[in-house]
Amino acid sequence: MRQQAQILVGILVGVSLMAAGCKQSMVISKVDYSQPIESVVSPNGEGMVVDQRYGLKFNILPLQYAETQDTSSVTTTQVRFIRGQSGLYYLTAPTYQHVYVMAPEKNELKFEKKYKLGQVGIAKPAFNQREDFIQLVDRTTGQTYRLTPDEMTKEEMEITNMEDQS
Amino acid sequence: MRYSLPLLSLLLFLFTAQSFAQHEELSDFEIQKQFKAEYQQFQNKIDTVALADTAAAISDSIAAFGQEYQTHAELLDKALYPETFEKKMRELKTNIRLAAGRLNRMNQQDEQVTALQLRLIAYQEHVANLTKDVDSLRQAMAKSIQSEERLSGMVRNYRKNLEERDELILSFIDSTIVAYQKMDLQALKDLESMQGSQRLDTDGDALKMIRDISAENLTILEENSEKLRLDDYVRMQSVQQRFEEMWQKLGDKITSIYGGTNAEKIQQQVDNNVAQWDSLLNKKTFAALNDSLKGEGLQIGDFESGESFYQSLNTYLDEQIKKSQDGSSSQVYEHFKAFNSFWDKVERKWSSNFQNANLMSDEQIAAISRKTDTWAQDAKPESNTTLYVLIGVALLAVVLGGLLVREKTKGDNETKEEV
Repeated sequence: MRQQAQILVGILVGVSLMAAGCKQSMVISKVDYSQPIESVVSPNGEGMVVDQRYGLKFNILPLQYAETQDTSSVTTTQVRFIRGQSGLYYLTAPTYQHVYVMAPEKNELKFEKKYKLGQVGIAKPAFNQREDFIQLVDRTTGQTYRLTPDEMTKEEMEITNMEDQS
Repeated sequence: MRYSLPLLSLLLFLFTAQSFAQHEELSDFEIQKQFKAEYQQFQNKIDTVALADTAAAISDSIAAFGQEYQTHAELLDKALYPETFEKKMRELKTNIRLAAGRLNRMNQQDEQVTALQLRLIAYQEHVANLTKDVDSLRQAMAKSIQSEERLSGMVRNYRKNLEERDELILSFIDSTIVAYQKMDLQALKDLESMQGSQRLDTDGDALKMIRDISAENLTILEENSEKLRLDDYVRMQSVQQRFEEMWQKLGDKITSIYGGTNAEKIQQQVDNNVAQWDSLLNKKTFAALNDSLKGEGLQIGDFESGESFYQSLNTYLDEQIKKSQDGSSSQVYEHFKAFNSFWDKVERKWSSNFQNANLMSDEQIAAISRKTDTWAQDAKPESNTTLYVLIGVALLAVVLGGLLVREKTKGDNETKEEV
């Protein structure tokens, strides 16, 4: 009788340990999601943006609505986006007033935050992947901004330095 | 003037600042996009480059292009993945090097073709002159039938002219073979399609010249055979064989290079001419050989081909050797001398012609030579002189022996008398 009790306890302990083991999820840490070069894609008539190179497909209309409050037609001619080290997407478009920071979720891009670019936005924006941040460039003026998941800071223009030196 | 220097400095500064600003404006995306576009432009230029000098200039531009983007190599490696910046540049440099090499080869081809053109024109003129001379002589001969001496001189000149013409044709064949074997057909076609010219469709065209030579030789055989001798036919066999070999080896290539529109028709004409030339020349050569042997009184069976010629000679020699071994006569010996003289000429003068023209093989010539040697051993009729000499010697020996015995006997008798 005592022996049977011992076996029962052993089985219970084993089952408990197996259950505990199944609950643990495997985690790979220090993953770098950074996309080396930004994607520049023109939406189709329905606002679908398809990035063949990095395998991403989404609709721009929610962002367009956030910018213009209008989704009656696709007015965004070009979408520029890049994925940062932590996996967040930074999206904008010519004359958009914001850079949107979006987190990839299951079948969705979830809005995290947005950085204001001024009332008229940037006519020729571009993203560059840098070591630990994303660089936003105003290609018309050469002005650059440093973007991280936490903040956007304006970088000093090298041309200004030149002017100072002269 | 006072303000011009500061103004110029300001403009220069603004230009430099603007240039720098423009450089800074390029995003990574733009840099890789620009690189790819420029790369494609270079590739297009390489694909269409038509001049060696231009290829050299493109090569320099590619080197500068590579240096310009070297600072973005890391970025471009990512943008070009799975290829790399270095690999793409290497490909571009290899491609321009190959294109430059191809253009250089084409230039060489061009020079070769030009040289060939000039040579062909020179040959054509020379052959035309000789053919004209031959025709003039033929006409003159027709008019001078009455004067045998004059006619004989003209026939000599005619045959000499034909010989010169054949030598010239052989020289043309050698020259054509050398020129066309070296020629890179594809490079030549590329060159012509680029230059859009029909440079080979000129009077110096090889295909037309080959057709003309084959046609003229056929005419000479058809119309002037009564003036020709066995020597001429044997020489002509060599020319015909060399000509036919050249045509078989290079005919398609020469036709391809021909710039005219009726290349196939001319090729067909040459094929027909060469075949007729071969057939007629064989017929004439064997007829002349038959006549020549019969003229020497040699009863050799008729023949119409190299093989039957060999068989006839073999049969004749076997018969003559047997006759000689059974007992030679002065008539057989005369036949031997005539045949030996003919065969000596074959061995010394015509053996290579016979082989080249496939009239007889080396082995067949050697076999006939061996039989001729065998015949030589028994061909000479046996002479009685040796017998007479032997009998004379024997008689002399008997006389001398008799005298010696007589002298000895006489000496013995004198000794006995003294005792």
